[in-house]
Amino acid sequence: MSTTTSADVIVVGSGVCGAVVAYQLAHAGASVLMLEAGPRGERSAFVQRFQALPPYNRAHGDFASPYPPSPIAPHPTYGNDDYVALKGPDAAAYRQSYLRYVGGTTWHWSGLCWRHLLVDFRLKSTYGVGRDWPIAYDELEPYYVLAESMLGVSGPNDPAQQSPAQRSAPYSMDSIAYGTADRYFSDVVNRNGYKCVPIPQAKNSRLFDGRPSCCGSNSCMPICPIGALYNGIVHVDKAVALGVKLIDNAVVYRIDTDNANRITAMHYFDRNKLSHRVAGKLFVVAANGIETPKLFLVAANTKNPHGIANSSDQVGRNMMDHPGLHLSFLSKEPMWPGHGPVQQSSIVDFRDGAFRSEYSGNRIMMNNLSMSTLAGLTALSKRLVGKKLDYEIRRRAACSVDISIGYEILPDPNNRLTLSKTKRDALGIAHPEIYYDVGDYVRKGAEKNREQLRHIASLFDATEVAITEQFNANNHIMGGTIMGDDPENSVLDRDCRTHDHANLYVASGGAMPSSSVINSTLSMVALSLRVADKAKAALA
Amino acid sequence: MRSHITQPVNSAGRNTRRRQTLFGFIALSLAPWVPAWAKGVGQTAKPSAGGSKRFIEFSKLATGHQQLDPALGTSLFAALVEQDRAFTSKLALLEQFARRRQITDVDALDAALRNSPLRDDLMFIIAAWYTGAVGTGPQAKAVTYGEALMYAPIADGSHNPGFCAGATNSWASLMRPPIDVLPKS
Repeated sequence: MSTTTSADVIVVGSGVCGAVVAYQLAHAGASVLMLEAGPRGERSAFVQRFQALPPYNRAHGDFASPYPPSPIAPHPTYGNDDYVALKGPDAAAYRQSYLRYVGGTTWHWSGLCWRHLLVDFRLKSTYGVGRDWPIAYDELEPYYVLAESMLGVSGPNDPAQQSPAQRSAPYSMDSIAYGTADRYFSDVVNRNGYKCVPIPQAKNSRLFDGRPSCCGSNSCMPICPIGALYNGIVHVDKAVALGVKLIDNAVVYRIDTDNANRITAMHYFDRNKLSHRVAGKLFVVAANGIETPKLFLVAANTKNPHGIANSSDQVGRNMMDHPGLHLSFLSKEPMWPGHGPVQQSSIVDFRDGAFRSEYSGNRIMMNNLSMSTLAGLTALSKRLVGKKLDYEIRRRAACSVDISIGYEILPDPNNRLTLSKTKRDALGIAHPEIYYDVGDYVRKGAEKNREQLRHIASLFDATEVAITEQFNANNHIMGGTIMGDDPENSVLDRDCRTHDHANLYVASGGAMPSSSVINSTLSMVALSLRVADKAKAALA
Repeated sequence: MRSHITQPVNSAGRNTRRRQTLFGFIALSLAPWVPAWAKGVGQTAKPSAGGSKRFIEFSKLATGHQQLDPALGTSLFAALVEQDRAFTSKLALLEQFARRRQITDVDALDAALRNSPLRDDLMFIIAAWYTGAVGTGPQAKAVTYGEALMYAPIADGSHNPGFCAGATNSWASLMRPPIDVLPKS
């Protein structure tokens, strides 16, 4: 039998976006109920599962297996997972990794906290492509500052090393020092005319907010063993300490609306498929860039037959990520990646330029993930023995370089999330399906970029140079509930409130109208903090 | 089923024992863990204590490492026997092959086995010690992480992800050791 719980604000999702919203609203005195589809897990269990992975998985980016999915809230698992059905010419490039856990996907993130450039907010006006944001950089800047201070971002305080340099406050902490590989990489490329800078990141370079400083475990993905890397669980716990009620294993599936199309209640299944009703004044959905549009479509009702917040038919459209390629090579000189955090420096020259009217910009970043396990497996595959085997492992561990490139995809309504007609989860909820085509803007940008990549490899007297052919996902999910001033072609207004429902907000990367080329989390959090302020004002 | 490390990780993320990740439950449970199909099959052998000792002795030749951990050897041997019912027989053939030719180093053994199917079995043994796992790909059964021999030749230039390396920024002063000098074991 359904029971009803109520609060001023119902927050759906306990990842970093939902957590900071819940925390801010509770801090302002609101009663907040937070619903999380996934279970609660413990850091020590994640660490132990990571250390127990088969060597192949440790060497090939298995960040998912330490987090087994809940039977009632599936999420993508490692390998050829089919929870999210993918279609289209670049289907494989949208194989996202995300978690449905208390604390969300920032359990396994690299912690990179880039800001968008000023021009990224005016892409259409400046370059005639994509969309403009309904707000300008200046309107988001105070929230970037707040997000950086809440997450604890270490970054370069020298403006010459910042991208962008338009900042009203310093970083919370100085940058974490480069390891041997980032030092060598940035020295070489900077000597040769590139601009490679320290990446701002939510990792402590000193004691901060009661959490320890980085111990160089080099396992930010899939898990920081000590919590020096910010995880969403930080603000989940802070919110709960302020009185927020958190219910885990609570899968929202139904949304009720009244005659004015305001949200009156949401319904969730618990692990026994018992249904519960929650009522509130305001509702904030922060359920991840895939799960949020999925929920809105699943929850279609009589008054909203095409889905919640979907009078524009834009829910689930404009799905974005940063399509990526990888450059790999063996450097002549040993670099020994693996000291310090997993990603530390990036070439930022091609974030912007007049070329963006024709093709995508890019971000070129050396991965500082340890190559030791991959080196061992590769050397063994050559059937070497004895000292030859040892020297080959050593050469590959020291000289292997992996560079990750991200491109700027444009919002395309055809890149669309829909509900599977054939696949349902244990609760009977449809799986998501996504059609994905990175588009000619990205393909042309990648072609132009290949020459840059070959040049960079040449600076290292590289051998075994390889650039991947197929685009890969980067797990930066954006666009499915896009924001804009026109209710005809957007889901959210400039405050990330749904055009259709006066008391329903979205706190998610899904709001972002342009992707830029850099990790999306800080912008997601900044938007979420802005949502919290708008919700506070609406409650007043 | 996924293997789990049973050793505790302390609050600093460091393993409290030198032997970082010997999966205790495997070591404890595999000794009597002989598949039903293996019992009474003529060409198979239980992972007995004697078999384990012979495996470790041969592994010194196969890996070139004279100091091999007996507990890890026992676990690897059990996992190899579990994976391949004929492993004990193959091990005996490899031992016999080396003994008859009086081979005392792995390079000579590898060269002598060039045209023999036993070379694959030699590679399995080397791979088990070097990766700390038995099998390949995502299906491999992990037995150890920190004690895998592939980390020995890079011990001066690398550390195992998932374990704390040191104080913040301690890596700022690290040098890049040359690739043509192996660390002293």
